[in-house]
Amino acid sequence: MKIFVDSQGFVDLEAPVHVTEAQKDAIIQFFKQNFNDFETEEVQEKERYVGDKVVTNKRWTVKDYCLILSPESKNVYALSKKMDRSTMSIRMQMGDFVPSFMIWLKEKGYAFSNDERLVEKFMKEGKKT
Amino acid sequence: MKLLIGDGNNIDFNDSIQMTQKQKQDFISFLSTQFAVVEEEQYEHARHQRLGDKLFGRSWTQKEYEVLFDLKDTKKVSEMLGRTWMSVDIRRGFFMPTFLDWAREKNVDIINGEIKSLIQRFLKDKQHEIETRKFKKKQIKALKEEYDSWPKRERWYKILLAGGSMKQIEFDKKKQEREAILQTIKNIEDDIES
Repeated sequence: MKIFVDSQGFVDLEAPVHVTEAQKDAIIQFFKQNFNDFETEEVQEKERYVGDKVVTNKRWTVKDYCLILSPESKNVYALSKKMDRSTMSIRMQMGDFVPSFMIWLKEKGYAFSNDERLVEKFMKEGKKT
Repeated sequence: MKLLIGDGNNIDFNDSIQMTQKQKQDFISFLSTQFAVVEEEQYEHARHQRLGDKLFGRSWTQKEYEVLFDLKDTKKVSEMLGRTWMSVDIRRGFFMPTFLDWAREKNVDIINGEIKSLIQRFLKDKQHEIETRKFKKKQIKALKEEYDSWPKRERWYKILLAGGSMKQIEFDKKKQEREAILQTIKNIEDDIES
């Protein structure tokens, strides 16, 4: 994250920061200890409007995961057509599944691969449901 | 000073805070104990909108990208960066195909290799691409603002038209330009995705 500092000594956050409960408590504690006039205010955040579009939740199969691990993943648009899924759905799975799979491969001592048997084994071990 | 605490687990200041040099250093040191990447940057214009006023986006720094590609799960990375899991997930999803493709092309072992140095190499190779993408996104934003400002401009053009300061042919050209903006936006978006 970026902390903005101006020439007058004013300090600001670049933008709001997402925190865990523990991080939030630690931050409050820090300000209580270091600033006399510290107070908090609870605010309602703006929500992202998703719209009325009907979203169908198509289950991801082993074959689907193998595809996003394959060289075909280079062209997400072509993959989207082939898999009949939105590009966003594919990107989100790539963002979540691929790193988890890579962590598992490393733990097990395998090399990177989109081998169906490996993906299946990964899924069976409950790393991804 | 007031700390705003959102119902979506985001925090913000209600205004910028004047700090002594020591307070600032303590603040940054403290944040560094909570988050993996904390960088100081000079700024000139105060941020007027605060948590609750709108949805915010935060730029991604080189150091944050290094954490993003580290072999850690989404939840852990989101905690380390002070970002939502969805923001981490989406950003990873956008870069993962490029990263995998790069690794195949370079024939590097992304599982058992030294991931930190691999990420740095990847980011160095892709820096130009990242900068270009940022530039194109800025272009899209500017074009969208121009497109959205049409009703206001149209009213003004009609006044000029009625007063004889603008010819009908000029007005029609402005309308055509407005339609062309949509196509330009689409072209840039396609370009980013390709």
